[in-house]
Amino acid sequence: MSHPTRRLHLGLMFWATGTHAAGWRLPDAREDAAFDIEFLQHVTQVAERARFDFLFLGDRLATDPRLQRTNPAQMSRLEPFTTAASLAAATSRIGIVVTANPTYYDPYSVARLMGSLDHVSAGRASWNIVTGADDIAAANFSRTEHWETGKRYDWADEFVDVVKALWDGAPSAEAPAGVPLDHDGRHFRIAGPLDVPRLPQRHAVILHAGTSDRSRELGAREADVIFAGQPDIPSAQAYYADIKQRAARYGRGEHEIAILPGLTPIVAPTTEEAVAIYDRLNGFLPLDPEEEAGEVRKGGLGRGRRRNLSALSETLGVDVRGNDPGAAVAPALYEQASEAGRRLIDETTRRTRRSLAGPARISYRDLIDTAGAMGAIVVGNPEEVADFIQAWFDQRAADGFNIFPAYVPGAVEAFAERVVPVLQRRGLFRLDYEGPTFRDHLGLGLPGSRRDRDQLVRL
Amino acid sequence: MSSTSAPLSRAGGLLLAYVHRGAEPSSETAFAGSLLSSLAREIERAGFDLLVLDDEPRVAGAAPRVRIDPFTAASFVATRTRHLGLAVTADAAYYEPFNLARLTASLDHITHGRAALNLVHDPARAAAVNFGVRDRAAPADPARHAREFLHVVRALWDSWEDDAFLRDKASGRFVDGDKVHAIAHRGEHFQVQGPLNVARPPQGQLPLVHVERSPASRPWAAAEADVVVVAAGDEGGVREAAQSLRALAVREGRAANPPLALAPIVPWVADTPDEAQRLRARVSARPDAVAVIGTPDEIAATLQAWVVHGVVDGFAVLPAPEAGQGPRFAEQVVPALVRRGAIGPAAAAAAFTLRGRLGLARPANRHASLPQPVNG
Repeated sequence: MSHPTRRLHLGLMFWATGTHAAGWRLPDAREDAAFDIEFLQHVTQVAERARFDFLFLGDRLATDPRLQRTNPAQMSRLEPFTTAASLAAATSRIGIVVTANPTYYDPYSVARLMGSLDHVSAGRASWNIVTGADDIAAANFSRTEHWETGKRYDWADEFVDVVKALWDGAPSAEAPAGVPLDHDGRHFRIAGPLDVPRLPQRHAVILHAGTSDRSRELGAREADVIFAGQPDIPSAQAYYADIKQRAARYGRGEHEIAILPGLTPIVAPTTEEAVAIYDRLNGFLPLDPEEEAGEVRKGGLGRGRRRNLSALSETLGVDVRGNDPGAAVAPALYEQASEAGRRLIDETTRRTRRSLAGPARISYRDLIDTAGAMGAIVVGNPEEVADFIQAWFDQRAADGFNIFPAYVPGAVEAFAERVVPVLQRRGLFRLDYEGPTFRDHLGLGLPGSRRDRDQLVRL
Repeated sequence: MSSTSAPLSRAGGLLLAYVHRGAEPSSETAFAGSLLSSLAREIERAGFDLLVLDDEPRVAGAAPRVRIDPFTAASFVATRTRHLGLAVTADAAYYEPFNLARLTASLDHITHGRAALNLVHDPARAAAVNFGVRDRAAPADPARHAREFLHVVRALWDSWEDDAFLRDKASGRFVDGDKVHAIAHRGEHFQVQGPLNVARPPQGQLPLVHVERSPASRPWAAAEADVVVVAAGDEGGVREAAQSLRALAVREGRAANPPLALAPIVPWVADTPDEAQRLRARVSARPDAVAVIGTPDEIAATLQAWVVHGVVDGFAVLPAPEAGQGPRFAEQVVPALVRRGAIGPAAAAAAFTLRGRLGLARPANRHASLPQPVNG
């Protein structure tokens, strides 16, 4: 089924210190906002005034103080369900996305937490399903090991099935005592019915992210929104096409599943000012000591990618150790570098407007900074940022973006006040909300019950 | 602290709680934000100290109730109230302690120190039918399980010392890692490494509330709880229950800080004593609450006398199954209590966290007394 107009969707990722590791160190940025619920409400209201589809609350189930180096916002923060309920009370239209990991929750609990959020928010609840990348979370949940991918997805598939079925059988005007579930599956035995009344949206909006085959299948089958992480248009197009094809096999139309890559916009009134902010943020990040030859790195939370010439040499395929990191890179490096190395150099030019040969030259340090953040980043004035978004949208690399503000609240305000009006002027983004619920923003009707849909797929 | 003059910050020594037990399953909109907000505001305006959001995660029985998750409700209404304490109910059998510690610590941040936990364990495990996971054994002794659970949660709340955060823009040091602590719990039911990924709750440790369903849980309440609604159906039963609770608390070494005992009451308020009796006669008595019947001033006098005579420290009001009784208690009985000096005006409580309101000090972090590292 074709859809008359494709619409751009925008989400806002909330990290209290910004999504840049040093975002909190800018003079105007908040450094103490993680537990300030009024500040979270303010940021959500800014996004709502700009007509964002949703605010996104991520989650992790383990921490380590070493995360302060790479990711202070993920080190210590408010739990997302309680946060979401408070944000619902301070807003009236914007969708609210809560991350919850089935591996470490019960389906009945998630069904009622999400259902409860849908009630107090009048139909704006959304569940971001993650199965967990942090091995050490297992140690916080009385487990001896973090399950391997296959087991996590076997569990998650049945978990999501049970949650949606509980929502279908929730007490309603037609069935005041609810419809028992009597699920007896491979992992769960759940009697039901849910004790929360039928949800205003019937089903909360489902989000999912991931690149593995199992993850793509779960997303294509169950999710209304997919987060993606591809850094450039060709790889994003391939992912986009794959997900839409998989979704079609489940009888789902192209417009029924929105694919939103993450995007970090560094925007200012002029290009020069935007590049200056980008440089300033990266300037806060220290370089790591160089590794001894043959040294084995240990993984774990908070390590992140090494910021040094040794790691850069691996990416470039050229040994650049021993150079002054601040020195200009020799133009000849482009010919010597690997394909990945050339992409790194090109990306650095795109962000900084500096090049290997021009009047403003790329330094080794610039390359280290780019390599340290290879997700989609766009640096520029409002028109340039809008151009970037439009190019991805028009070329079907994205149905919109999950905006990662590098620092708060400045990066949120800059995008909302400067870029959103450009997108609206170009007819890409809504001038007002389509309706009161998150499903309305996504152009989705109420879902049929699971039973109806299973029959549909068989036809 | 003697029970007759509990130093409640509210002044007057009478603590009022309101127990919310869900809604009739007829309405799909019982938990719309606007209705929930009105309810919480009315309860706060009426002068209650604490709203207990009861919970039982299943639909069952002859008169099934629907509800929403208490964390969602508490966090939502926190934005619409200013000083009402908010107690959430959770059954230890259906949570992971790490998740519950995050939920409760976050709720305390969001409410600015107004949160309390009512951790329950149902020996019958009635809701287990909704939480069946293959390969997961039921605890042999739910009470022991709950006790260890609470121990883990309390340790997790202390993961971050109050001054762990540096947030120094100049140096780039965000946190002092020496002031963040794993708990490395290895117990009978739980193995939890920690640290929690939520900063220490504003109250340090959340007050523990307990609503008895029967005397069976009284030893738990005497050992762990800060506020206890005793199970009793008449005044004699309340007196006996409160005495046994206090005696048990003494045996637990809590002579100096016994839990506050609250009587569960269903008030029947009318303009005349006869009318109140007539209202009350229409429904059958419930075994878990005391019917208090009369004019507003009669009821206020009764409640005040119980507190003055040291029977209890306050009351948990269960709304009468009769439209209009909730508002009548709020609009007529509470002002009568204020007139009598049994409770101070609600505004006097606004400056306190819930712990402060209960007369409880903010506890030091268990790690803060350890010797500090030299260059910490």
